[in-house]
Amino acid sequence: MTETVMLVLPQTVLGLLACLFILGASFGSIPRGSWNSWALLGLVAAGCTLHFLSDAVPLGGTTAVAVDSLSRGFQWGCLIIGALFVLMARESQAKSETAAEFHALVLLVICGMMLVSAANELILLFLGLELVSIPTYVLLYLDRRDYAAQEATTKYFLLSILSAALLLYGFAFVYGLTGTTHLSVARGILTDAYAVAPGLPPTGGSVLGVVALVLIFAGLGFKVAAVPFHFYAPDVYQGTTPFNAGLLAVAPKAAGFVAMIRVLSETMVGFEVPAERVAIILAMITMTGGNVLALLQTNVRRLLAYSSIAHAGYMLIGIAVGFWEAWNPQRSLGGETGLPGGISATLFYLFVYSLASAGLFAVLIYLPRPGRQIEHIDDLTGLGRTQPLLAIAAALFLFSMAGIPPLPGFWGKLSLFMGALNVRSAPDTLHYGFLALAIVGAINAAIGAAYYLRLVAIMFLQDPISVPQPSGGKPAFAAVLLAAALSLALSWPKPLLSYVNGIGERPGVVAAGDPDPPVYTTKVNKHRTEVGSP
Amino acid sequence: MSGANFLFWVYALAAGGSAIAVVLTQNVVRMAFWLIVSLGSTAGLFFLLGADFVGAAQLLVYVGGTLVLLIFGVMLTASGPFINMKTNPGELVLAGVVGCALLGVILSTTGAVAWDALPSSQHQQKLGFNPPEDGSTLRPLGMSFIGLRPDKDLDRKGTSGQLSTGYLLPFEIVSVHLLVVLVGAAYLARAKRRQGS
Repeated sequence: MTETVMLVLPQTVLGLLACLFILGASFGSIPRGSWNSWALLGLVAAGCTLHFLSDAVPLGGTTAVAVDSLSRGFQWGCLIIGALFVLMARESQAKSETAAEFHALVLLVICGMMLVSAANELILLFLGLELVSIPTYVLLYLDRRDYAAQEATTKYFLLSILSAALLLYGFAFVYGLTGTTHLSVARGILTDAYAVAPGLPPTGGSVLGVVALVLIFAGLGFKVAAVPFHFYAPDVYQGTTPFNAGLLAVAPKAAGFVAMIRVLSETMVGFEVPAERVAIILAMITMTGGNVLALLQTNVRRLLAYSSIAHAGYMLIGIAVGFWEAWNPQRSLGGETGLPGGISATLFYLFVYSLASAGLFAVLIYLPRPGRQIEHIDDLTGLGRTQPLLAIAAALFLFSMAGIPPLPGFWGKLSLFMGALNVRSAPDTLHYGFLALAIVGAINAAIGAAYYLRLVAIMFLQDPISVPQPSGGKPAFAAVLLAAALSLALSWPKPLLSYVNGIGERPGVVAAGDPDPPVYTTKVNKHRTEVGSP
Repeated sequence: MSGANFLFWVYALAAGGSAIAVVLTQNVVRMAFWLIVSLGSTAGLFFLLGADFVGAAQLLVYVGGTLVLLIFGVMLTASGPFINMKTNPGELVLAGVVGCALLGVILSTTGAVAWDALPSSQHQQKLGFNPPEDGSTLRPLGMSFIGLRPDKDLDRKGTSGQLSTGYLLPFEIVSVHLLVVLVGAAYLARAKRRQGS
């Protein structure tokens, strides 16, 4: 029991702090400006516990909380990006009367993301995902209360609930298939039942698993804003503050992808072929839909919403490749080229994308004059003359998103596309689905470059219309510079790539014993019955 | 046909039929009534399965709590135009197609699955099932929510004093969810009052 408490210590620190914030807000004596510093301190404290945890608790284990390199790396990513977001909000929340609640909710979102990455159990995973969504509903309504914000909040609330229901339905099918909510046990049970020799096509498993797969893809598709489920994104980003839009572009997407890796890539042994097909189709329509619609946008936040949809499509390429690698372990990409396998490439891209997104939204927070927001892309006209440093940082993020070498976005796209190109259906023939995926991806990268470069051109090649009066405050500017510095540092991608390379392998199988059976199926032995009943 | 079988059909038909009635009715108050019947019959199905805790929770939370709130909400807010919900035919057709497609998928799945060959059934046959007349899931569930799993820990060998956690962690996370929901509800209510005054 103490073991499990240790395992979630960083999340506990954040959650407790958030509860204290909410409690403390009811006493008026704490100055409003100080909440931000406390939140930053809390993130540092969580980082410390996470750091010491890696010495105290060994990797592996079959408790409800998994500690592996995926969860550790992802949690560090959450803390870094989370700190950037807290920094961005410093100035705007310094005088707000809801500052304490605001910071508590942001901490809870970060805590939820960390829980999702650590969850080794369906229930915990679902609750972690909800811990990302529920505070987001409140955040959307807290800062902006005009008509557009109400529409955005309602839309996000209703669609998010629908997605949670779909996800839960899918989880119920997984439980029906395996009889356990424990992911590593489920993996063991499915391996026993459906696994074949590596390299042979999987047997296909039961239809029940395929239905579960599709429902889970649909539920998580909402979270990552993949195309048939993306309808909320542009309206919500447009109708809310740049901070919330930035948080929405990063937090649910990251949580959704890590949940996808945990539940689908790592657990659903024997269902790789249907999963691969669903992922390929989703990736293609998501990339294309997002990029083509982004071309038509003139509102900055709508444009970034469609661009975030397109990036979800790129990341789905890695998920698809990951499914293929799962049943072709000997042909997986890892060793030979030094480029990561599918899942690892997705994780690398996720971090790089989050960094660039956080940076861009920090620019949108810093830039507007008091009481006004950056709406039309023409609001950015001539930024290169009036705010050169900021414009250079923004251009850096846009280039990284467009995938221009040597910025990290390029390395991310390269790993994803090379992963798809290296898939062979037989030792030396190309796999047409993945070939098409790589080609569609490359075309989309070109379409994406068009609108990112249009933004850069507006900033640098046109004369400024007016002199900007940035109101976002120095901390937001610092967040921009920090994100830019990190992005530049990642232009030497080797350390991070080799780190994520170790993550993407499917973890070992736990024997299909029964470390954590549901309560109501355990009363088999005589003495168990005596304990269970009065 | 045994009594349990008969009751199953009664509850199942009531749950399904009134769910259809919810969709087909256009008056909000009647919809709420049919929802009560549907959710109540679902609780009956849970009781038939021997899941007394889930059944009771279904009655308390959905029938007792959510629906009463819904009816209050309808009574307080609905006036004239909102009491009847008109959907335009296009939406009706679209929703019908999507709903029927989902129904088709689930029905065909139910038919196609070899239930006895599922890994879960084989796993379960090793462990054995609870006899349905056993009931009383409340105590072990409650204990597992506060972090105790005596049913598991007593016959565990060689664990050197390590106990299992049960569902303590999920329970705590749910309470944080509720805290957030409370904060959100408070702000929602306060904003309304400020607008009103």
